Amino acid sequence: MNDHGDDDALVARFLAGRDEGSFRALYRRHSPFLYRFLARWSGSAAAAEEGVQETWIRAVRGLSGFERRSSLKTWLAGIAIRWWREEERRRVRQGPSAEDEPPAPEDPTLADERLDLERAIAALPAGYRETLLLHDVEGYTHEETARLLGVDPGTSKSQLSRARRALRGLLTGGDHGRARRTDR
Amino acid sequence: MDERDELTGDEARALAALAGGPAPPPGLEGATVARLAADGLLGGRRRLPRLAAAAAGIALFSAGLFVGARQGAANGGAAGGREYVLFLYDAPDEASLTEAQMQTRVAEYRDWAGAVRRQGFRIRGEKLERDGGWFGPSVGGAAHPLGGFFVFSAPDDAAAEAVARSCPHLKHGGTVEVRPVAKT
Repeated sequence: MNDHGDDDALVARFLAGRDEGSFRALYRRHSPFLYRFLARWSGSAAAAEEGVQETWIRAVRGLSGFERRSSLKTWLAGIAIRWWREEERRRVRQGPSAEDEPPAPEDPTLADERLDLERAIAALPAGYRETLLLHDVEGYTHEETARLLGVDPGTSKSQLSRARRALRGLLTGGDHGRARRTDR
Repeated sequence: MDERDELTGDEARALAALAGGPAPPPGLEGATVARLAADGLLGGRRRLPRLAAAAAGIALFSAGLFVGARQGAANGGAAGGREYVLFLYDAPDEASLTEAQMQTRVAEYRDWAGAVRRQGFRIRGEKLERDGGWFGPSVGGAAHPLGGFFVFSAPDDAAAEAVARSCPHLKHGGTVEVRPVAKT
């Protein structure tokens, strides 16, 4: 059975009885993606934790209306992105959270190159970082990336080009990535 | 996209490898299940009663025991429970705080509520403006004006008191009052 088939079966089982076991299976399949994605988008482990919870609360409320026009993973990503956009607006009004700390590296023995890459991605302007993470890390197509970000595919492609150039600049000590992190 | 913006094989592999982490914290799954149960979004025989979820949160909150405390309380099943309002009366220094200091304090309280929420409680709160209108017969001037409130659910008065005592308003010299919402 492919991934979509697994998801479809789990969703059907969950909707039949709203049982905890089916939910936990769905949680374990998709939460690693949601967490790392939100942690890198937000730069905050606390925001990522809250975002994962909020995404699942909203997803479970809307699951019976999930029309399978995209994969479950993409649908969940859309919910997570909408949550983060709301959270960003709230933070603009109220200031950042005192709980915000970057997520701890999952493996302290990670190679220096990988840590450098994580830091360089974190230093990218938000719009570049979001596009690069969706396309180059999570493997979404340009069309999917554009849909998730609410832009047209041409914009997504040009953002990705700039993001890659900026990332190379940061990794080689150049100037390309030195835009403000909140720039879009 | 310019050819120079295409990823090299090594770059593509390095970025794709980031899909391996960071991983969500182990306790997040239980906290998410507790929140779903508290919101009545899980059904069937394994459903976590809302109040048990709240009890689990309290256990975690006071004892620092994460998964074990949650599951123990959930399986033990707390009985009874209701909504409470936590009133926050201004700390003596509150009127003299600068706008930036006030924002920092508001962020601290928001983070406290976020931490409570992440343990499976339902909690919401608002800060009140200093000026408002009085109508009807005088009830006497308040020595410490009401500055804000939280509404939360707890299994019993003792648990509600534990939440109240953990509120950061106390350490700033403010007074808090917790009262159950009357059953009408």
